[in-house]
Amino acid sequence: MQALPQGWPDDADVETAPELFLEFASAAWPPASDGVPAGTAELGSWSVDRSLTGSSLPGQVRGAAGFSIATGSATFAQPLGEQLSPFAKGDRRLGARGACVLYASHTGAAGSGRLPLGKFVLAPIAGAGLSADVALDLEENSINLKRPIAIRWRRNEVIASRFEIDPSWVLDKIARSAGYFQTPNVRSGTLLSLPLVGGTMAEAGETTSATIGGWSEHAGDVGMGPGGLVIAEIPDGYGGPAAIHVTAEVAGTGGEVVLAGLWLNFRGDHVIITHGMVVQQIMYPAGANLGLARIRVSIQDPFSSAPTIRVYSSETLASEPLVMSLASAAIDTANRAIAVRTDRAPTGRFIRGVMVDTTFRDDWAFTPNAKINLSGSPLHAAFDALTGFGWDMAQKIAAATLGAVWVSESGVFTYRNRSSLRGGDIVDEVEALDKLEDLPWVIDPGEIADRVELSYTPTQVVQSVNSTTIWEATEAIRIGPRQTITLVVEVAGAVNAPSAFRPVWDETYEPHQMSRWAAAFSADGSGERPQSSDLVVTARMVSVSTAEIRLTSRTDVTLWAVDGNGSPCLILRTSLQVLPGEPLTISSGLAESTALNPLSIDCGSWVQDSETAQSLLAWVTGQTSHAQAVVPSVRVKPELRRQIGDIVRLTDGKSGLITKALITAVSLAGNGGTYTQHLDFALLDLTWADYDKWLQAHGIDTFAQLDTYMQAHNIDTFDAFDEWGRDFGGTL
Amino acid sequence: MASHFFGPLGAMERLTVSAGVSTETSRSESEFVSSGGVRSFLRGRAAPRTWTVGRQYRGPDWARLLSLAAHGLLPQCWLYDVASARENMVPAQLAAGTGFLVQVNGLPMRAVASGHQVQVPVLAGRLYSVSAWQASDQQMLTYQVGMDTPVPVSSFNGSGAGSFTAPVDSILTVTVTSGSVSGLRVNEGPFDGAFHAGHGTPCKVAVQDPQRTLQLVTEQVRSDYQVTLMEVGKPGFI
Repeated sequence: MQALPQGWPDDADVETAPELFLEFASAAWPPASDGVPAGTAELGSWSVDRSLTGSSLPGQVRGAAGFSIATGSATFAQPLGEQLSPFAKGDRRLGARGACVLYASHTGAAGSGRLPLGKFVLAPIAGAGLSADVALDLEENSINLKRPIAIRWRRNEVIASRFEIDPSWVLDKIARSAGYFQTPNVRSGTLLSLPLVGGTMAEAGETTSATIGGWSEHAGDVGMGPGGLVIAEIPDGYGGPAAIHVTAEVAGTGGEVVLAGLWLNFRGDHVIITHGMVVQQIMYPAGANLGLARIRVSIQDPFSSAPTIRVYSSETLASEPLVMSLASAAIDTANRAIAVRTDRAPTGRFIRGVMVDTTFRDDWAFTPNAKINLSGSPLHAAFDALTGFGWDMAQKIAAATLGAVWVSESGVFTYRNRSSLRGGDIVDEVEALDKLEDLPWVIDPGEIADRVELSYTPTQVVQSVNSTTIWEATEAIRIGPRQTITLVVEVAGAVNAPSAFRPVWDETYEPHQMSRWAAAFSADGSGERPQSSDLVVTARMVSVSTAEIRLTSRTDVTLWAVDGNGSPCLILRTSLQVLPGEPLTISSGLAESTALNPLSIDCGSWVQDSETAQSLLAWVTGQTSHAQAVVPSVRVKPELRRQIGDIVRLTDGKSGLITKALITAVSLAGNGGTYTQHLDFALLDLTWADYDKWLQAHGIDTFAQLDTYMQAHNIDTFDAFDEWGRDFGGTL
Repeated sequence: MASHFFGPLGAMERLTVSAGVSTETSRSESEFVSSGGVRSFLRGRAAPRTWTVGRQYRGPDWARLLSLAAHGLLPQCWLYDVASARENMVPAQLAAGTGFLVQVNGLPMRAVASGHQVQVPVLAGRLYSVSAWQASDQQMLTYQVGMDTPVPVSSFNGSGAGSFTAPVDSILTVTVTSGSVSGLRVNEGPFDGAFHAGHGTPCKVAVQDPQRTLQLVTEQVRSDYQVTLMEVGKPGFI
């Protein structure tokens, strides 16, 4: 449900329709008229259609993977005087123009009470010399999402067995590249930006190592949960600014940001600032600790021993400026490492959106235009090609995690995970007798599967003491006198750090350990051996599977990277390599030979652990064990707040139906001041979360109590149990 | 006396018409009946009007301005309806707002926001009254005739009014200065303590070509005329 703007009339039996406007980005046409500014058109007839399609959504189990593109149309009147046309001059000349925003308003075009109905781009515009109106086709504005992008990342997790990222981080990267932000964007003056929304990579600065205890969700927003320690570096140093501003979004008991010796412990309702023996505590303003709070600590004179600290929450200054008296400089300029940690007491830590700026950001009004749930499929590494069209990648991830992704009416990039898509909270009540024109239904036997197969890619973690070879030179490399050669090599899987290079004759380590080089003054390896210091070889990972090796000659003679026999010798090794394993297929239901109607789902490498795979399989099996009904396109008492993805309680006084239902399509059509709304509903199966809620609500803790309840309600067959189960989904 | 005036603002002429002028309104409406028989109703914001007026046995002067307007040779033309002007010239939807309830001549109407502004074209040489309703006794609005100094109007015992006669055709601007005012009324004639629904007159009109039935040609020409005038544009905007 969208939030209605201030002053929007309440739901009533007799309503006055809002006016509909289409605002064109940077437009001169149509010219201003009757209170409607130039560049905005008051619409005559209009329509918008949105539908959510997603794998394994009820009614779409076998459908294509999941997203929504809204389409629509609109007409507006030709202005007085000369007509708008492609042949006219000045502000009457129509051009194919890009973006526009459709909104409804009860306060006129310029009023503040706007209810957005979608951001669109114009498809064809049509008119005619004798026509009193101009007709437009609208298509959802997802141009940015259709651009090709490449996501680069490095594996930063230092513990091999741990899962570093969640696919929601990849969705966040896709969203960011298209201008949708969950946490504020990097600006000039940003030294460090760690969104920490399912991944450890920094947007500004560089993450150098990470230990992730697990990603958490707070009211649908992803952040770093307890047990995390992410260390990042600011590459160019602080540069001696007058102030350093540290912003973090915290929930629960928050998290810590450590800048050299200065510890900022962001808690639920206060921040504790520690430097050596000095400890100060500043409370946030009242109300700031409700939900996800953006807290900023501004440190004036950060490189002195008497910094002034100000704490802000939203626009409010939390306290009088606090001047600290320290034994040494608050921040050591030489120390470029900044740590974000949730690995110390208390429990219930949650932090994200950590930013360190040198200029004060006045973006308090920042409202996220992306809402990305935790997908719940932890990954060691992202193996799928992270290049391609953003929207395609987003759909693939949504399909593999059984979620759905769409851009909402208000232009919010939305990803819902499978549990919130089906088991989320009810946001509206729809009684069929009062609000629906009819209660049509469709059940499709094709939705039932007697066998479900799900394939996923478990990871193979190769761990050693600097002895896993990931790349070897296949040809002799010639290094001219005093020359530096840079090689960019692809390695298999994901590697966080290569081992340091040593010459092959170095005996500090076992011969099979460390990255190794050998060199000779001739291509065939004959002659005298160069000194160890004649060649400097370094390596670093530029991305998770790309290493950069630099060979720098320190002699005036040409060197060849070969061993004594003239064979190429340059070996890159590591301690930790994560490889995609062989795809595994797990199944449930009938045997392959007897199944009539099997369903296979390929999660690719977006599912890497068996636990997630099993839970997905159980999920799909549950969804497809019996066909769920859908309510196709039914006219309803219109309400512009409704959005696809809303979960409603659908009741029908006639049949006694009480169920949770998901709005899978919203279709609006208006003409001359009034409009109609059609909705599609998918009836939702019960989830365990629903069941838990119900048990809690009825105070049932033991099987004996459940038995008593069932006996009292005549539930004594499986069919009766099923029917009871379906009904109580709507009673939660 | 003329019942109507017609023409561009500042150059309106009398339009005498035969009795029996009917005003048709067209408001878009949408009815919804649920499966349980519950009806709800959605109405459009405005109800544009259409007038069909005529005059029998008149010379060519009668249709002069109307024909020019129908051919598109004049700036935007307006129709001033004297009967409506005596009731209330403010567009109905601008006479009340969405605030709390105010008793307006015994009717519960909602207050407009402070700063709410209405503009009404007025004719020269005629007496007009600006009135509104408010529970407490304090200043509630100012009215400004053309570029003259705004005149404040306060309420006393629930309502208040101010009257003026403009020397030339002008635009009257009424600005509400208090947050508890409703029942805005601008009417031709003195304030009589009553409130009538707004009519939004004068209003912009589109003119269809006058139909003419020739009746007499001697040294004079006499015809029967009929013409349809359609309200256009958004009420309350000049």
